[in-house]
Amino acid sequence: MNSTSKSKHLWNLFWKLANPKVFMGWSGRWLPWLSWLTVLFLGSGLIWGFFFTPDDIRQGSTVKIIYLHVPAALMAINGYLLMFVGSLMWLIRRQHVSVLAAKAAAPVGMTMTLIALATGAIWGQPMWGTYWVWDPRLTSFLIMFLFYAGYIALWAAIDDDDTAADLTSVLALVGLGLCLAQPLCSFVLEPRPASGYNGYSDRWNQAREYFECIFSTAVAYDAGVWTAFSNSSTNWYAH
Amino acid sequence: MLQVSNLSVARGGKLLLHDVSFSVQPGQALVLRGANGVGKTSLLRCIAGLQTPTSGIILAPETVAYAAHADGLKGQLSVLENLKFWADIYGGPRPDVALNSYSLGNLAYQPAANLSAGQQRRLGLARMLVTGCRLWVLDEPTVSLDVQNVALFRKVLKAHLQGGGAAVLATHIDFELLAESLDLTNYIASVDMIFFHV
Amino acid sequence: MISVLAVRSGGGFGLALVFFLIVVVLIPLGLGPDQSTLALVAPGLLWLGALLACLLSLDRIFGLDYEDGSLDLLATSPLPLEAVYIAKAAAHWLTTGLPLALAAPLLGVLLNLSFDAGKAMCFSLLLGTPALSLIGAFGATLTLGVKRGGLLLSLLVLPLYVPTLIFGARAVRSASLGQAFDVPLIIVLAISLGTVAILPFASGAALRINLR
Repeated sequence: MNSTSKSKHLWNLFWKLANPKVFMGWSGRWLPWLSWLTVLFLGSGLIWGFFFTPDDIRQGSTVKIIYLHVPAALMAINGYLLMFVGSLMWLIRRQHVSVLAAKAAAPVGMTMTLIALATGAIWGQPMWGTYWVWDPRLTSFLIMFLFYAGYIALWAAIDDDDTAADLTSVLALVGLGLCLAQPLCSFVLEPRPASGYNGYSDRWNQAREYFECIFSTAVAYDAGVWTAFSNSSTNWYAH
Repeated sequence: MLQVSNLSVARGGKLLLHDVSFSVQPGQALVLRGANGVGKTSLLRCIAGLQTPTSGIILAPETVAYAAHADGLKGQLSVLENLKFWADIYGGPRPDVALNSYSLGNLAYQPAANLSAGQQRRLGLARMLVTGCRLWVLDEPTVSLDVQNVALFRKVLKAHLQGGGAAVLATHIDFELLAESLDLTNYIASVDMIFFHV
Repeated sequence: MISVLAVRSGGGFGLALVFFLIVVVLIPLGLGPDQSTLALVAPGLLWLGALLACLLSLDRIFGLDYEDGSLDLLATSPLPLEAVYIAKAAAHWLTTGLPLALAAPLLGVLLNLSFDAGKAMCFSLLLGTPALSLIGAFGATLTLGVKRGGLLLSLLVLPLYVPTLIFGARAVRSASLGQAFDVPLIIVLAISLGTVAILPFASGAALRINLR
């Protein structure tokens, strides 16, 4: 099998999964495996991050919250991205699976935004001496949280499923333009120095640090996909 | 003027009409009959372009004049201003003729909120005349009209058809309009359709 | 036609202005009459007051027309729904945004706002309130079919209002400190122009979805 036919095969598989029946069967089969994988990854990731990573030179053990904070923040943004792509695909191709993915992504994204905000505040207290500052990054995450809440509330407020799907999709599309342009503009006015940290000195440790970060991110993705799958099963409506 | 082929119409996910086909020529009025909830309103909304049919083709003029149960009148504006508003939007004829055809001339400067139900209905029907559209789509046009005013409506409709216009109406009450010449040509999906020729 | 629609929205004209006045009068009563404190918080509070005053009348933009059936009639007219949306948003702006922008510098006097800052206030509201009306009217198209959608409308619209509020208030704050305020003012203008370019299509789509 050459590479083009293989990619074509994958593409076909992708659209085949757009069939609700096929998708539900497929995701139902994967759900128990993913559940166990989530428990395993989440457990090992958190234990690894909190107990088996070195302290930072300046920040001490407080820095370890980064293994929860950064992946959660990434998932918060990627949840929006999933919501956006799902909504766009629904408006173009009218496939129920894509809009259900968008619907299921919202609570995941909102929870992750909340985790990112909370861990950020807990981290910020010993670092900046305060739980909260109104800087563009924090503010835009707070707005994103409100936006997720609005998106979910709009879904809940409209009885007809197709109407709700259409209107929330329009909202998700518009929200990307207006909400995410805001931090961009803010940085134009208030450029902030990149707040990196340098706990490690040599190359090996740096590589290890990257791996740890990537692992914890993968854990967050896994948890997110799991939640989205289980959500989309419970929220399924027959068509 | 209007051609509908193999049309299927649903409301709230429930299929109401299946495979309906008919055409309406200039000078012809089509009366839709059927029990409540049979799909008359949905069919009319499809023709007016407010609703998407499940399947089928509708060939209609680009703009049609549509009137439903709600007249969409603005109480703060006078009778004349209400008509002028719609005449401006459609680029249709001046409202004087419309006012006189429904004998609303002496009410022209009354706020629409002060009109009785029957007078409001007449104003809603007079709106059809200022649109300048050749195809009228009317949903229960004679509700809250007395016998005299039904006759008035009949006269206006007749003039519209004689001038080369056409109309599709839904009603579940008998009114004198149909007493003259009824031409039952079709019976599809439990909606009676009665053609009325001038 | 816009003016007809503006007249038609009737009753809402003075309401936003009176609400704005009440907010401005209540601020010194809550914060205390200290002149320097008032001058410090005036830019943000005036913008916030204007924003809330705009929010008041949003669900009336399309709500009445949806109920009395005239939105159906407008949808069947030769006018595209995008144009209906623009006319509605323009009517909302004429009856709320414009009077607020003109009244804000006068009310700023009550809050010890300097003349220069008052000028910036007027400019930033003139450039920013169109965005508030356009975003608000868009939110109104989304919640058209929702009964008692007022709170939902606020929840949907407020996150979208944030950029306008931040940069509008920043322009006035810079002006009150005697700094240049052209950059935030340009961004406010950019937001208004951006909404005018994008939102008619989104709102037209939302109206069509709600009417079908």
